[in-house]
Amino acid sequence: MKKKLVFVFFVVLVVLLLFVALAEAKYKIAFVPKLIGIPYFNAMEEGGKKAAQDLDVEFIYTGPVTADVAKQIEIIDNLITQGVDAIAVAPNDPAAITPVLKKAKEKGILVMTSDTDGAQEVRDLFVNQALQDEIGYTVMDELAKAMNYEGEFAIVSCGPTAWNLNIWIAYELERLAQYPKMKLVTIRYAEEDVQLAINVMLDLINAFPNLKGVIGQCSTSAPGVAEAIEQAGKSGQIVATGLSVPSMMAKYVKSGTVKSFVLWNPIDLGYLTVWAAKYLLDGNQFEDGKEYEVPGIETKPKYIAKDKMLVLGPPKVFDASNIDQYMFF
Amino acid sequence: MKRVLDQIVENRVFFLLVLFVILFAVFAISVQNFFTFYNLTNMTQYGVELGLLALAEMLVILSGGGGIDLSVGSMLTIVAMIIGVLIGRVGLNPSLAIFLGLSAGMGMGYLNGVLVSYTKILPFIVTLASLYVYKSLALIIAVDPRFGPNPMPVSNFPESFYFVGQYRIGGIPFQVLCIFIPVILLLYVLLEKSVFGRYLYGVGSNEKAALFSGINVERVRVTVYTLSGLLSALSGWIITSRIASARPDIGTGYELQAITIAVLGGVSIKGGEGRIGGVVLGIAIITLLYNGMQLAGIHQIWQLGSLGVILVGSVLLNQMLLARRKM
Repeated sequence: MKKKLVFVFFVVLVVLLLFVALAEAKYKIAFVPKLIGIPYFNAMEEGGKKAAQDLDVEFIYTGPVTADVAKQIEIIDNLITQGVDAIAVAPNDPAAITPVLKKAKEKGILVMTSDTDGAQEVRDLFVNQALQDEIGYTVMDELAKAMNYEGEFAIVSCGPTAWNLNIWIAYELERLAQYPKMKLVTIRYAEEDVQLAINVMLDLINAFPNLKGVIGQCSTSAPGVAEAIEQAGKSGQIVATGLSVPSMMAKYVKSGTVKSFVLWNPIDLGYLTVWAAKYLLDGNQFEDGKEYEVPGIETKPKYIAKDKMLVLGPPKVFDASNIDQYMFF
Repeated sequence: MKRVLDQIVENRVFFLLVLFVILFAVFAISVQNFFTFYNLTNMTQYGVELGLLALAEMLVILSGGGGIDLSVGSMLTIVAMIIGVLIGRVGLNPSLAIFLGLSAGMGMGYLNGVLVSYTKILPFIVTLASLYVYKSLALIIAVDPRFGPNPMPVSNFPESFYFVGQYRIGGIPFQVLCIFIPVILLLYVLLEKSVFGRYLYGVGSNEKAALFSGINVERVRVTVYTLSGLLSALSGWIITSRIASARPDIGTGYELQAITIAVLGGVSIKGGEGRIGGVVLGIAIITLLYNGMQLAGIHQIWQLGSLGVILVGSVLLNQMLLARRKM
């Protein structure tokens, strides 16, 4: 009896050790989002998991429950202790993340940012969802198409100092030169607040009776302006577009107030993050300007050497034909 | 053997020590990379900031009269912003900026103490109000006119400023060795060996008796709130140096975690009861728990919950053992 027990014990031990050894052989790739439990990052997690399955790596998804800078750093530090092979992070504070990423790099860990950049002088790669100029151009093109290339339009942005929003607006205006029959009448700001965006848009409808179109520059102002158009009974007369998430925009796409809007695919972004980590861990190097064939995602990512940046692809346009597939974020 | 068991059940500090050892053993056996010199020293840095706030909470709660300080998190934030803005935007000498930040912390604590002692408004209400006022002031200080009316973090510090939060001495984080441990020792002397300590326990356990024996109750209370401000300020300085960024949103929610740790450490919410050893063990247990759970890959959503479970569980277990022994 006793012998049997000892034997069983040993078998279990050997199996366990084997298991551990096998698990060890896989790359451990971690992604730390700004916070966990929101649809956008859930979508990135899903992509990361899919990539981990396809590429046979271990994917660790962990982050703070609120966008807490100190907790995010602590979590990364513990990933360093765990001895992961690669850490990708969407930093809450691009400066505060630097010391801990530096430490990770000193321990020989591959260090990346994804979705949001930070610690530029330390990180090995930034997986970027889309280029600033392409986002601006695409939004303008979508608006022009919806307005039939003529008429007055307005922009409702959010924080007046939000750096990325202002850059996108600059590129939209650059693109406007291609549409001589269109005219920008005003840019207004509505903070990150749907209700405020509704109010701002209702004012605009009164102030500019010839308004034909509007851009909602961020995820809250885009559904806000669409809602205002419907409340004012101007659907069909004024079209809205902008940058937002499918779950907030679906209602207005279905009713026709929004013909299309722009974002990127966060699932593919998560997938690409894990794929790129594996690619670099395998000892490969990215080549400047080259477009990569990544099975499992719908775009061809391109590498830009001077920024050490891998761009997912052109921004994605959502409209009535595809929105139902993306309702989860 | 019976006597040892009695000790464990009756003495909160002993009980926590046993809990600590058990937790430590469990993690050491089951969690990879936990029981290494690197991890055990590295994790200590994450106990410092919350730990200083828990010690502040301990002092204030000990003083009785419904004593509690809900503004510790906000004082941390505002001191972090004062130091950050003075160094990063005004360009002041770091030492001077730190001195001014710590003084401001003491001043804010002093103000809490004066309001609590001389107006007889409940500490809960005074410090709840200052929680919001100090937090709002921190946001105002953080506004950078170059970027319009929005609060912005400050992160352009000279390299020397990072010494406190990021350097190691023999593998041990500087802030643990040169600030946290000395603070604990000083507070130990203050509470256990000094006249002030006796006064504090006296005021906390029986205010009337203390008053009749000639203790200046108001002065004792003003002192502990001032110390609470100073400890929060130290915490704000250390966290800014550690994360290399002064942020107006740092420290949010820390006050409740600090109170939880103090209570876990055996500080009676009624005042006058509790030992610093217990609170230090409480800090150690929470630090250990967070570290072990993160290394084990346990989902983050369980971590805050675990703090509550440990609190209720330890008190409940303690009471059950006590009841069984009396039978």
